[in-house]
Amino acid sequence: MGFLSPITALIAAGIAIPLLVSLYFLKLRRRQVMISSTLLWKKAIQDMQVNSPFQRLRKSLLLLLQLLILGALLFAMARPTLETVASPGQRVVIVIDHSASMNATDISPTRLDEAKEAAIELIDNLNAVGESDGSSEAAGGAMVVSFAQGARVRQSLSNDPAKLRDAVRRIEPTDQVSQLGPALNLIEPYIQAISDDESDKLVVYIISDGRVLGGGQTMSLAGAELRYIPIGGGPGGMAGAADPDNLGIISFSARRDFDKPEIVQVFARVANFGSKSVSANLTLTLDGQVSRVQPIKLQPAPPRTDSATPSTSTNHIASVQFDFVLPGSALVQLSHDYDDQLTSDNTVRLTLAPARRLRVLLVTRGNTFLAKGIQSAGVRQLSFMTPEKFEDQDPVSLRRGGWDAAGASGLAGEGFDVIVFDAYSPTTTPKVDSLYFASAPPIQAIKRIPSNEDDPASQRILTWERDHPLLRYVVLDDVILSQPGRLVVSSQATVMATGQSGPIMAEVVQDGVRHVVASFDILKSNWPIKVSFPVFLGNTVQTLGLGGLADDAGIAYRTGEIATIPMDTAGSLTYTGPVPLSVIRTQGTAVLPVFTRVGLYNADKKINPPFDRLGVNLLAPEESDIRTADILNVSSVAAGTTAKTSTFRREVWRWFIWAALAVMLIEWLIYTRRMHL
Amino acid sequence: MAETIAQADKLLTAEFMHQLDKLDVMSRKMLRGKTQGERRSKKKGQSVEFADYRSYVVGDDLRHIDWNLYARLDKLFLRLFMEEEDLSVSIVLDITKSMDFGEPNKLLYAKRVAAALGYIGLTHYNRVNLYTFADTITDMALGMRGRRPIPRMLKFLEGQQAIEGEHVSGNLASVCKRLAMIQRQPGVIILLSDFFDKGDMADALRYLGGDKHDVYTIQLLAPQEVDPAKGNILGDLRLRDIEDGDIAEVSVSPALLRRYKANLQAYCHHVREQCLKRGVAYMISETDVPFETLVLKYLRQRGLLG
Repeated sequence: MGFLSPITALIAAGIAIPLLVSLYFLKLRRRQVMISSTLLWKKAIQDMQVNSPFQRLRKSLLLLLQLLILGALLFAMARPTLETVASPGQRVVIVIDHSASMNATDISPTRLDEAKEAAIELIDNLNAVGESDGSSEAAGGAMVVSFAQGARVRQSLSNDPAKLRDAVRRIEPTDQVSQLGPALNLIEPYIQAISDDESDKLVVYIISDGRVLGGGQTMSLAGAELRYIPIGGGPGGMAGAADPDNLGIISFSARRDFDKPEIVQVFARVANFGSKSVSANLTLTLDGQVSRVQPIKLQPAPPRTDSATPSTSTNHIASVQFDFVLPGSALVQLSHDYDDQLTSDNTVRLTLAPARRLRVLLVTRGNTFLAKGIQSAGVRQLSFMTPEKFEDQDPVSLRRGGWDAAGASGLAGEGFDVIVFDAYSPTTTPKVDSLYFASAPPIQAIKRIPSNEDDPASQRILTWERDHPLLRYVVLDDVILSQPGRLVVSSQATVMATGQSGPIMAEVVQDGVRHVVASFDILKSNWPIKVSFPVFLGNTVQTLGLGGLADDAGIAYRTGEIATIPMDTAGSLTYTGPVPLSVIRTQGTAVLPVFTRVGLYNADKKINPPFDRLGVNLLAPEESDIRTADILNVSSVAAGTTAKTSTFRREVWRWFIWAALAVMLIEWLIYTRRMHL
Repeated sequence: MAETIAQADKLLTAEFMHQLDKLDVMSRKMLRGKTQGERRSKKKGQSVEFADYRSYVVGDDLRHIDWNLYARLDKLFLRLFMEEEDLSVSIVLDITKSMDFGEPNKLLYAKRVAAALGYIGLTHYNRVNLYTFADTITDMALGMRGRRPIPRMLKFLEGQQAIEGEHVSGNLASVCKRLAMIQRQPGVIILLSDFFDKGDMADALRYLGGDKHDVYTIQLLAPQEVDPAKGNILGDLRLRDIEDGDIAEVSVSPALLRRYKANLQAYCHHVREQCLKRGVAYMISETDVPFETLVLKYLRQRGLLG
């Protein structure tokens, strides 16, 4: 601590303190009281030695308090200063992480609260910069940005510390993963604007625990100085924080057996991110009833390493599997009973969909390869229709009547899950997900152009989207097509494969119905005899027929995802849960807002399972690992805690004025109490 | 003081006097009386109670010769009888200004006790003497005996007021010296005071000690003296001694109050020690104790009354 004007204060002290003490001697105006004898009082006074002036001062609490008040005022007069870390530049961006890991309680009450405190302290310091320069304008202002899965500007560049503090306080916790990229992209235009505007350098403070997706990768942010303020315990964390201790469920899924769909297998992985061994019990519940309890014991997590050399040790991770028979729908919940510092990954849940197998309609004039291929894809029933018969059908009756809650055996209901058109383009667009070979639906988004006579007799497929769900494990480089034709697709469509004359496979979603179109006739190719053919049909029929349930037997979401709910009835839909969600139905589906908190969301009206109960989980190892990172790689230089800082002398005379007022209040209380003892 | 005057006629009520009739002043010593009374004396004398025989010597009263014994032994023996004499009861009342203090007032309280003791003494044909003192003995009523002087005694007491005057402070030593000179007749001396005397207590009691008198001291304290908080002694005060105008400036704090109480206790203990050293019976009472209780219960327990 230093002083700006110590001489003035010393002179004032030289005058005021003796004055106060002498006033104290003079000030007493005693009330006269007659007593029977002063004999005993004099003796008592002698004992107490109150008559001695310095003894009296020693015993006088009031004088002591008055001296304290005077001392505080004199201190204030000396203009004490504290050295604080502040921005040498004038403008500051405060980026606060409010992802799931920031809810860890290794710092009381949570890391997010600590981060907010740190941000407010920064804002106070900025304010002080302005004061020291003599004008509030000189502070240049600050901007507040919060980020988790996405980033949001909470307060644009402002000079008003009250607004900035308020913006910081309004940042609410989420259970999303954190991605720094969007935040940096968000503030980049501001940096450009400022660097065009002035020569000042912008300082970006990232207040986070460093558990950031892509934190290991370098992200660029030119023209700004980045500083990382780590929050939380761990090797790179704050002094005094508790050692991070978290046991998290990092993956969770359920599958139904391919042949016996009533058999359900639930898989989960549990990881210990603490520094000590952990024993816990995993509890699996079905609709609230405890089904299984399994004890686990996990080793401490290995020290964190850079992403370039990931740790190979897996002793801190346990994989568990639960098998049970359940044909219907149920809420499956898995939780552990270990008392750790992050609660959002302690329980995961998913809604198990009823077991079902597919009904597929093949509209063809005869195609054995296709029929065999579809049958091998695990369908319950394959129906055949000629194009003429198909045209006679009521398009509404073709649609399967929703999910069957009764289970696998009672697959009642008319209609089909998937329709496969073989070399026939229907005149009306069916309301069922469809696969087209050498044909196309009558929609604008996609058109099939047949091959010209002068096109090459045989073509190969040049490229295909290996990451597309329908083309997983599908290799098309040995497929030879004869007169494949080509597709003309709009921007809504996704091209899946491209031949020599253009796109030959594409997917388009219109009015909630998926259409997968291949421009070629499989009978004019060698594809049916290749291994990739049944694999493609299996992928396509399962994905089209079951949607998201093709891989998973249940529905569960992660925070940051968006849920699309199929609805038959019109009107609004509300889910109650950790955060209420509501949406107005559009075109047969309702799209819910992004999930921010984990938990179970229940629909307010009758909806077919599994969409009546939506489980939202964290399932992010990066977030469950709450050990604070000591370095954040952003731009070409790492934003470490050791980043160069400059100090600034901040005046703190206000504190002493407040202290003087507080002591004055105490003095008044003691005085009144003494007078009315 | 106003209260003292207003209630003077109520020093003793008829009902209370009736209760006092059953009591008598007791002496721990067998003291010589002046005239015949109701109390057994060391002397042999005229009562009907036989005491002893002794041989006849010339000059003895022939009426006391036991003629039956002469017939049997042919020797002259004289029959001796117990003598009964009166008892001198001296009540010494402190009327310094320090006594005119407190609620209930110490002087009024003392006057009531004195009236009760005097009444008891008179009803049993004891010789009752009343003295009042401040810096010296200021007034006295001597030689009262029998029921007749009861109104005189009460009037005497009622007329006693605290001595006014800036420099009239108690001087117990000179009072005791003077009392010893006046009160030559052995007897019971009852000293009623607050003993707030700035002189030496031991020096004062020296004059009354010894076998001649049976001395009782009753120290009276007002509740406000025992606990100054009851007397609104709080804050920064200038305390003025009611007797000698002495000033003590105090800032009353809980610590000072504790110290005062400790001092008071030590002082009372000192007075008691000095009394016991001289064979003087010592009693202490606060004036909020009903004086009837003091007379009928505590004084009997301490043996002054019986």
